[in-house]
This record gives sequence, structure tokens and C-alpha cells, in this order.
Amino acid sequence: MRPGFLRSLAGIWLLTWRTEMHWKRMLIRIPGLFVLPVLIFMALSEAKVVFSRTSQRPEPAIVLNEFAVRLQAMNMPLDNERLARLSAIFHEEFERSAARWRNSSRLISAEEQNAEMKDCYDRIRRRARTVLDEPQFVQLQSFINETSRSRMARQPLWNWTLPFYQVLLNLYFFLVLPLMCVRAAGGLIRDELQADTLGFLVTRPITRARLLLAKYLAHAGWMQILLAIQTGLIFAAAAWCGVPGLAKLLPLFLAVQFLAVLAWNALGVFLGQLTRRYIALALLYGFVIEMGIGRIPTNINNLSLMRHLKTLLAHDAPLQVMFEWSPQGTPFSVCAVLLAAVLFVGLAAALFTWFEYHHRAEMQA
Amino acid sequence: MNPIIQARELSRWYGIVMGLNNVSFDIGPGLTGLVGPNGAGKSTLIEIITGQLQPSSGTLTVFGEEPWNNPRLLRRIGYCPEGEALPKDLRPLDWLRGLALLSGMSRADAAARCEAVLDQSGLAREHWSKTLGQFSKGMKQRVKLAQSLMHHPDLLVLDEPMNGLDPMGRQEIAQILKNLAASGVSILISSHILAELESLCRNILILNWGRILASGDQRDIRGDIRNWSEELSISCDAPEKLARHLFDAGVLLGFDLSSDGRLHIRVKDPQAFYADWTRLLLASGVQVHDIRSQTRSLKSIFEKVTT
Repeated sequence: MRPGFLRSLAGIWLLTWRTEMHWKRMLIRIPGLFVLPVLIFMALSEAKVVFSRTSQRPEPAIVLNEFAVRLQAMNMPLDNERLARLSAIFHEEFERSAARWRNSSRLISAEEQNAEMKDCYDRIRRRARTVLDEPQFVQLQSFINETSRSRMARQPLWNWTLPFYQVLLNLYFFLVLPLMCVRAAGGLIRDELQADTLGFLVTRPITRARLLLAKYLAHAGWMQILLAIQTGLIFAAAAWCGVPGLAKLLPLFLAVQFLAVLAWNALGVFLGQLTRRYIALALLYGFVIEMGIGRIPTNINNLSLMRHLKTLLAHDAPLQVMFEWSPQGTPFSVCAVLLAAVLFVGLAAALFTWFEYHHRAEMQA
Repeated sequence: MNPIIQARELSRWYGIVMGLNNVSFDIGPGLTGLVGPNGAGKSTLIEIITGQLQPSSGTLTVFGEEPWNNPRLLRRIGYCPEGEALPKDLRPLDWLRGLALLSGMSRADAAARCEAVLDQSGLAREHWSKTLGQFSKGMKQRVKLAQSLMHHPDLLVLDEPMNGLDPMGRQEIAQILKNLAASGVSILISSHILAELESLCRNILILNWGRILASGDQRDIRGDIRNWSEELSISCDAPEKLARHLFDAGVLLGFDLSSDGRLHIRVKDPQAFYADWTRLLLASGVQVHDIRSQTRSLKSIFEKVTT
């Protein structure tokens, strides 16, 4: 009997998914999958309300009414026809400005808001020239100057979809996902050691390196399925709330997530082989490499996995603008992530081949 | 006949603690018992044989090859560990199927073989739908034995396989092992239940403090032990008279009368006593009903060599 690698992988896969699909685990896992989608739903629901409240665009009807009252006081009242035409102009130009803000996917500074309002009033001025007589037009110019000064925006205006991207990326993709992968993969051998079941596996007719590789692939496969479902639920919650552009983002996100899961699982396996306290080591790695070295604006930041994942995600235009990421060097980043995965798994396999990882030593440590 | 397992100056340390201390031995085909108190080094030896540990110094070969990271050799070895730990969320068939695939079996062969070894190990089918976490100690032992038989090994290494089994279960397992040995499988079995090993194995290896104290045929070991005093228990009509007669004949080291009327004697030279005992008993004039040896057991050998 000469076990091929695929057959060994099939065996480990059977043991993996049968264990993971136990009803007790499902009882915890399934509700857990809904935590982030519910969080997103709540955040976006509130965001819509806050966005409309903080929007400092004045209502066109109110502005027009103030102008009409002013003309009335100066014995230059607007007749119904002029009022109707002027009202249409005000509503169209204000809506044009609002649509531009509404569809932007980033913070809009106060300067930009004021510049946009200035453009809006300039457009109103140009169009109103053909509607108003000369004295009324002079009053309109004066009114617009005073209104612009009194209604200047002083705070940035953030797009209501921003919380979704912050939860999706800063919380889920760059925190929860790596931690989940490293925690689970780090225990691939350690958990078997502590449970004293590793002996059943290492006494099979398979090299230790192949055994570790089979466990890694089976486990990474399981995590891919689980996290794809998680991502699907997150996007579903966002779609429910009306976030635009998700159909374009989802395939890219899933592809990058696929690479990320491979890499983070590989890191976890390697750290798990290094030490029992692999979570602490992973946090240290995160602080030093990802948050430290990864942010240095020179080539040394290529050591950071997150930096490469950001490059890949930057192919989505809103993300590119929102987080100021650059998609330059995509092929290099793909290779870097895959190379990191191969390197970590290779090192882990080498450690597992050279060292014994004995239950007695594990329990005494 | 070539030995199956051969060790030469084998040592294994755990830090400063000596697990095995410069041991050398040969284990041949058939059934061999591994005997020793807790901490003697039995599990360490078994784990080196099954490729889970490496020697600190010296060599150990199984079928002429070193076991560490050796899939070709591991294909020929079946291992049943002592511990009760099993994946608690899996059903026995699922677990065995996974291990069978890992051992290189096809899906079809694995399915058939799993059921066959579970039947062979005596696990009732009504339990097959339970998870391993719901199993009793004895049921777990049977499943562990089943997984060690999955890939038709040439050498079966069993660490305390009778743990948790009732007497009938132990008998069943013993019969399975005898059948396997008869079919050509070599078996190394470690156990504290010396009575079981005694009936199962002719060859034994006695370990204590990481050293081999004795190895080989039980009878040969017994013969090699010097100053071996025999203890006998005799039921007769006049125990005091018989005791006085034997004492005067100079063959006794001591004697005792138990409350049930039996005479317990310790003889100096068992070989000489057995050569002459018919004459001694006739000359005493005492009618003897039965006579039993207290020291022909493996337990007595074990106690003798470990003290």
C-alpha cells in the first residue's frame, strides 16, 4: 500500500470536516457568522440618519423663500411664473450638487463643500439671468453673496457607506480574519498534541512533512469555505442597506481573501510549530511587521502581508480613493503572498520533521 | 531467525531524566511481552519502535530499518497507544475511514476494512452510531485496537491493550492476538496484567529504571535466577508433622501454617527438592491431598528481578 498524497489529503479532509461539522460546533459557529453582518446593518442604518443630519447642504425651498421675501420687502415681488421657473432652477442645481456628494465614497472636506456650493450658486446665477429683470438680478447677486458667507460649511461631510468599508476592512479583513486563521492553524499540531491524539497520525505510513502539508491544506480549505460564507453574509447585509458597487467589489474581495486565508493559515501553522504560545507570537508579529515595518514607505514594507493585500484590493476604485491605496505592483504582490504561504508551510514542515513534538513534553511545558 | 526489533546501546533522555539507559536486546517473531513498573521506560521504548521518538544515542531498528519518519516501515507497523484520548466528536467509522485513507487505502477498501476490524475487535454494531466521546474505556480500547489493524501490519505494538476491559473482554482480545500471531503477525504487548501476559507470551522483556533486567523465554529467565527459593502450598492430614520432617531433612528455609490448615513452605533448592520430594513425602508418612507452587508465575519472576 503506497499512499499517494491526494489520498492522504482525502483522509485528513474527512477527519477535518467531520469534526468541524459536529452539531455542538455548528451551534456556536452559525450564530457567530451573523455577528458582523448584524453589526454592519446597525452601523449603516445609523449612518444614513447621521449623514442626512450632518449634511450641511441648505434646502433650496428655504433659500428661495428667503430671496422671495427680500424682493417683496423691496417692492420687487416675483410673479408666479418667475417664481416657478426660479424654484425649478434652485431645485435642479441643488440636487445636482447633492447627487455628486451622495455618490462620492469618501470624506468630503469643508473646503470642497464650500467650493461645490459656490459652483452651485454660480450656475443658479447664470440661469436666473434669463428669468429675472435687472433690479431683481442685482438683488439675487447680493443675496447669494450673503447666503454663501452665512452658510459656509465648517466640518467634513462623510459618506454614509463609510462604516461598511471600515467594518469590512479594518475590522473583518485586517483583524478578525487573520486572527481566526492564525488561531485555528496554529493549533493544527498543538491541539492534537494536547489531546494526545497525534500518535494516531504520525504512525501512519506518511512522512511527517506530508502529514503537516495535508493538515494545512485541509484546514485552509475549510477556512476558505467558512470565510466565504462569512463574507457573503457581510455583503448581503450591506446590499440590504443599499450600499452601491458591491457587485463589482465582491469577486475581487473573495479572490484577495482566498490568498489572504492561504497566507495567514501558513503563518499560523509556522508559529504553531515554533511555540505553544503562538497567539502571543502572532500578536508580536502583527505589531512589529504589519503595523510597524509595513508602514515604512520604503521597500522594506514588502515584508508585510497586509501591504500586499492592500495593493490587490486597491483595484476597487472606491477603496483606492477612500484608503489611498495604490494598485501598482499587483503581480509582485500576488507572488509575494503566495511565496510567504509556501515559505511558512515549508518551514513548519521542516520543524515538524526535525523535532519530535511529544505529548509528554507538551504537557510539561 | 532474524530479529524483528533490534536495539544496540539504546538510550533516551528527557532532559536530565533517563528514559532508557543503554539497552540492547533482540525481539523475534511471535508474541513478546514487555513488562515493567510505571516509569520503567516501556512507553518510551514503544514510542521509539513506532517512530514517534528518536534515540538520544544508540540504534534501534525494526525489520532492519530505523522507524523515525519512515513511511515504508510504518506501513508494516500497527500501533495501539495506552492513552484513552480519541477525537470525541467523530464516530468510529468516520475516524477509521479517515485513518484508512491516510494509510493509503482506497475509499471502497477503507469502508469494508473499517467494518471488518471493528467486528474483529468486538465492538458491538449498536455502538457504531455513537461518537467516540460517548464510549466507555473498554469500547475505546476496542476502537484503538481496530485502528492498529487497519492496514494489515506485520508488527503490532500494543501499549496496555487490556486496560479498561472486563475479564471476558480481555479473553476476547487475548484470543484475537493469539489468532493474529498464528497468522504470522508479530506482536509486542506491554501490560501490567502479568497473568494475561504470562498465558499469552512465552518471550518477555523486563524493564525497570530504563534498563533491561531480563529478556527471553520465561522458563529460561526463571532458570537463570540464582537463589531462587520456591514457595509451595500443601494440603495434608498432619501439616505440623510434615513440616517437622521436611525441616529435619534440611530442605526448608521456612514454613507457615495458614488458618485454612494449609502448610506453606519455602524450599532452599527447588531443583533438588523436586528431584527428591516423592521420597521425602513418602518417608514422612503424611497423606498429601494437593500441592501448589506459588512462585512459578510471571509475577514472581517480575518481583524477583525488580527487587
